Amino acid sequence: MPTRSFLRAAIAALALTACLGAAEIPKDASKALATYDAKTAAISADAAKAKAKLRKALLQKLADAEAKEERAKRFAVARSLKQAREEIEAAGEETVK
Amino acid sequence: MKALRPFAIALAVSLAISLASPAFVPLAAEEPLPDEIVVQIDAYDAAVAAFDAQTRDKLEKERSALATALQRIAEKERKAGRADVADAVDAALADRAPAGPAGNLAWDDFVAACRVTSQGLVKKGAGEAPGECSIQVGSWSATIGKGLTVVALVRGNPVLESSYVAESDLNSRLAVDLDRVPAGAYVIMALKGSAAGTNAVHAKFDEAIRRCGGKHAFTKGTIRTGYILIGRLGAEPGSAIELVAADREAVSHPSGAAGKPAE
Repeated sequence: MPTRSFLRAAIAALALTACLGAAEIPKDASKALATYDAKTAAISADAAKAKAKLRKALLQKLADAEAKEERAKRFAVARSLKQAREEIEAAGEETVK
Repeated sequence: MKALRPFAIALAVSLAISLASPAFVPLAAEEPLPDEIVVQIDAYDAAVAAFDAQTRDKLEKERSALATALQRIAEKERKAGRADVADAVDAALADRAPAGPAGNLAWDDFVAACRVTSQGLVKKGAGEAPGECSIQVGSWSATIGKGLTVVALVRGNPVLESSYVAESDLNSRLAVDLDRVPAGAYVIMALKGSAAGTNAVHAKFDEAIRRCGGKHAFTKGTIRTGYILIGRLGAEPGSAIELVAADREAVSHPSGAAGKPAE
């Protein structure tokens, strides 16, 4: 029953507000805050998406170069490229976290 | 010599095979990346830095617009005598403040990121000198002064960073300074050397410690042993991490091995 759980959550929130004695924020302030939260989330998401695209393109170039070096039997260079690729991948994963 | 010839041949053959094999790993230094790849990586780093700067600018612009709007609303509420509503609006704005140099961390992550050392007085020649002291949260370090250094952080922003040496500092100024810190702020205290005079009674100082979630009670006199508190302003007494060093010893968080939990 989603209605019941919603009511329960609303009652709990009201009770908590009453316990804490927190004043309610005016509607215009709530609206400004909600707009800000939505806009900043969109900005951050766009930046993350753009950076992921750049990273993907670079990783592809590194993988291509690695394959080329392996074909030319320049294995030490290929290993360096692989290491660079792994470092960029790991750094990208850290950013996502 | 004839008997050794098969071994020598076998050794030469195996060496030749291993050198020709792709799995052979030379002991030479790592091979540098091709120039065109270095250029590509540099361009990528520059593009990422530019994106980050652009994002920061956009977020700051939005925050500035929000601050202007909310400050106007808070002012209107204050004029109308609704100070509690104005405070709630200010708090909502403060919640969205950008993270400071110490990072906007959840409590457990904050405790894990803290590196604190404290030591009271140590023997130096015929006399005594202050021991070591440091407060670090991630890559951020506090400025350490003589006596007790107290730091309060809100979303990683240091809102209090001061040192207290004299009796009046600990029993009066600290309480005044803590009044200006919002509830829930993360507080770190660490002593370097000694604090307060010989006849000092620490009632007010102990009260300040309780306000930060500590429970340790200092006995009358000069405080001269290492002390660390990591707590939250307004938290229950006893909820903070407190460490008291043995005489002349240093105490550290997270290791804490040199000290003992405060009683």
